Amino acid sequence: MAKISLQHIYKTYSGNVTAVHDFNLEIQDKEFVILVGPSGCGKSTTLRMIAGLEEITSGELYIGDRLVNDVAPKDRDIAMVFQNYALYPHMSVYKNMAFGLKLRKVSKEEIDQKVREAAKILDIEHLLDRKPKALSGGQRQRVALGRAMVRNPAVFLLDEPLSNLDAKLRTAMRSEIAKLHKRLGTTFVYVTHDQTEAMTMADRIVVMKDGYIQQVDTPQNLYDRPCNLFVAGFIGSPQMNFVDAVIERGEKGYAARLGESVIEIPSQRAPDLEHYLGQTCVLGIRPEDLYVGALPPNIGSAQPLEMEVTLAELMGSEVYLYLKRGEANLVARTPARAAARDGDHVPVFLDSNKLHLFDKNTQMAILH
Amino acid sequence: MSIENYKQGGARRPRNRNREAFFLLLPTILLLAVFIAYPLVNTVMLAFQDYKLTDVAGAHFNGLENFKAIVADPYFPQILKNSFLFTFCTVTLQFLLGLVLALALNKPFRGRNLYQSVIFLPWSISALVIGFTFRWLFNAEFGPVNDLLLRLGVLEERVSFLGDGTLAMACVILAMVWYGVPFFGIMLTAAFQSIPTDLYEAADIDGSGAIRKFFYITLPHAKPTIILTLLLRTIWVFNSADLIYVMTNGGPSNATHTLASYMFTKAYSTLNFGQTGALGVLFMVGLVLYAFAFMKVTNYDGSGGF
Amino acid sequence: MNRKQKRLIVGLVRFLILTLFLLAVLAPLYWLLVTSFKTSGEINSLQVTYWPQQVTLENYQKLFQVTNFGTYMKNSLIVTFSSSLLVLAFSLCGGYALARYQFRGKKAVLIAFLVSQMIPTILLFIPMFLIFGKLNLINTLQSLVILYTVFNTPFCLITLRGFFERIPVSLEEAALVDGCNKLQAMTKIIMPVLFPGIVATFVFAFTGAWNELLAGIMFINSNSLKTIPVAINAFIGKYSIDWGQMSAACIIALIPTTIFFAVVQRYIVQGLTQGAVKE
Repeated sequence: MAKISLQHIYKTYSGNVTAVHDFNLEIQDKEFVILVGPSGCGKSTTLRMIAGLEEITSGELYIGDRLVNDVAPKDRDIAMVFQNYALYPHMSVYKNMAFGLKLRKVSKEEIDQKVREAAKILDIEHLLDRKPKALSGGQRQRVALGRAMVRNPAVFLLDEPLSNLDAKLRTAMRSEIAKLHKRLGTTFVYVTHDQTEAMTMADRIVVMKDGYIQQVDTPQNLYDRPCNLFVAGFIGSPQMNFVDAVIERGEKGYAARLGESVIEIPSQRAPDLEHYLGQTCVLGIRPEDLYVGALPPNIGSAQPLEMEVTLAELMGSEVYLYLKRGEANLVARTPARAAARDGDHVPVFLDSNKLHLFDKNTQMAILH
Repeated sequence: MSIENYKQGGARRPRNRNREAFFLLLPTILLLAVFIAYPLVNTVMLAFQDYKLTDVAGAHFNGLENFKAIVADPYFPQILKNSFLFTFCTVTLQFLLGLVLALALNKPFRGRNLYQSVIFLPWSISALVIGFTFRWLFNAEFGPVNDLLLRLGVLEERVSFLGDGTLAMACVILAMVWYGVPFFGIMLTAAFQSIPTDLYEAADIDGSGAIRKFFYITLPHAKPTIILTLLLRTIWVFNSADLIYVMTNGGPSNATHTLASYMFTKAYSTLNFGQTGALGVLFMVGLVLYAFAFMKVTNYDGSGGF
Repeated sequence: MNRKQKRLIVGLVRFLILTLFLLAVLAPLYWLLVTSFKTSGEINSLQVTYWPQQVTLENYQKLFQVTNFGTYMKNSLIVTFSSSLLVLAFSLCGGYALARYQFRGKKAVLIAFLVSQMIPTILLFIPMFLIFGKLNLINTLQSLVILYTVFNTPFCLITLRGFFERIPVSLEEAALVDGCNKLQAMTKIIMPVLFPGIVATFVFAFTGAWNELLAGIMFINSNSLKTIPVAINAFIGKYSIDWGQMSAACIIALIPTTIFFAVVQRYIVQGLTQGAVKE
């Protein structure tokens, strides 16, 4: 029930290590924002600054309309779920959940009502008398969520809440957290290193690296229009293919040359590439935009590349083909029926409508 | 879509959280500075003075006189020898018996916790009580040790255990061993129990016997604990004066005096603080050397502890 | 020899070893206890007995009637509790600082603590005697409180630091987010979780102070200010030893610490090994 505004936030540790550089972000009320990036990118530090657990070196942080730089965590109207759950080991589940309310001098009846309501939503009513020690990882996770829920905070902060769960539970909890967000109608800020989590849950994703924001956008836009090489490679699995290509003048505009083959860049997509003529750029193409064998109709035309299959990885509904030609290595995601075997030489078509181009020096996107 | 911004900000001065740590540690640091560091400096000062508590007004610097007196002390070589003998025998026996105890305790059995509680008791008892008890056990006339040995036919007549120099030293060592074995036992048991069981399972599959397992898995894994415990026990045993003071008071004729007990007796009975201070300085020099060696051997980086 | 027989023999040897250790630990204590219940005639007889012919409480009665044992106990309790509480206060603050903060000079502080553990206490007696002389603290219980606090703080502080380090920082942070201020997070969350550590530390400090002898001898002259160990030692020195009465005094002296150790043995082992085993 509050928007969060981060303005020119910096975090510098003694010894001049800067963990977060000039972080600017407006988080809307009721929005589900996920900070994602490799470890050490500053995402957790940013979250902890919002929580007030880490001091802000410089910049301004607003929750609602209030400047909270110097406000203690307890007065920020936030709740946080920790990676290791941080349940109080000496208290029962009920007391864990009631603790925050008790500190705020909420009446016993109201506490009881809120705890039971949250327990019901999270399906942990039968665990209320247990100590955290007697709970499984998934159950602890629910209690941690419940402890945050009962407080009915303006902002929900979650720091890698699923990373201690096994794969199956993680998938289940993912949809539960998304549902919870809809139900609570509260602002969620969530940190993870797992791009799948980010893609599946977030309204907006903030991709970070080395303390800098790389890109902020909706999951769909981030996937379709990554602004630089890092984001393009980080989002999506299997990751986007990158090959070097030389920009040339094409039949109707520009073209990219990969070895002997030339790929026409559809003129309606092409920006002004005059500057890059004759230069080597990085061409990016997602595995699902590669077609092996035949080009389906109404897909941008292109000359096929003759490539060798080095490995076919069956995933059930589809096959990942690892392709090789000279220096270039590509992964294609194809329907399981279109099976090719290891060592086969196959024609590979690139969907020229889905090409990405990146500047080799600045690593920024030229075309997407 | 916001793109990364390379602008370096003029960051405000980071607030100093170190200050909290400093204030939390300050009382302890002051306490130790006033009551350990300062007295140590004082000891050095005393060592170069003719300072007798019986004649404080006549105190004056006398150079190395105190040290000369110590070297000239006819008992000094024997006391030094006693110190090393006492320390070496005690620590070795404590360690070996503690090792046997720990190995026996390594496998769980019913009542192990209760057993550990009981076996741990000597460590909670004061040197005074231990000293008195062993003195009473070894009593020449009414003590049970004499009586039992007579009944078993080991002895022909009663022996004055604490009246004979060599025997008295053995008795003191025995009492000290009794006091220290549980400590070693507990430390080693804990170290053994932190060894992952899959290592032993792997050894079982390889067909290693119990002795091989002990030398190739148990000992190497417990090595850091063993070294740390041994080194610290050594210095504690070397420093301990109370048990000897109570049991024999260094007697008969200095046969059981160690450097520590000798120093205490000298300070307490002669009140010659100058000479005692000189002894203390010698003690400190040895200590500093030992501490350096200790840190070299254990790679002490502050991450462990005592 | 088959596996079963082998296992049987190993088990037997283990049983034998454990029994021997148990006997070795208990025998001296048994002798002390039995002596305390014997009449002086029976004690001072060449016919050594291993069970009192006539169980008597006279040694204990005499102890309180003839000597001021009640006063000695009171002195011991005052000194021990005061210094243990002080040690605990120093250790809680310092242990927390060393566990939770990174700061310059931290390693130096740790090494200083380690070295202070190596210094024999008797080395400090002489300068301390002069310092206390200037402060008019000689022959006071305060002098012992100060000394015992100084002797026991480094070890207890490092032990408690080990316990603090095992408590995840996030627990404290969760409390802060939940609505605690720093002090509340300490008292409501950290202290209860730290309970075993506090108990272990307190017992270490208690035992150290309760059992201390030499400083007591050095700094206490008045009979009315003697602690139990000092008093017992004085009896041994002064007269021909009254073994029965001394045994009774020793039994009383070892009761509190042995009970402590037996009850919280688990915590103490945890404390010891946490400090000493590098992780």
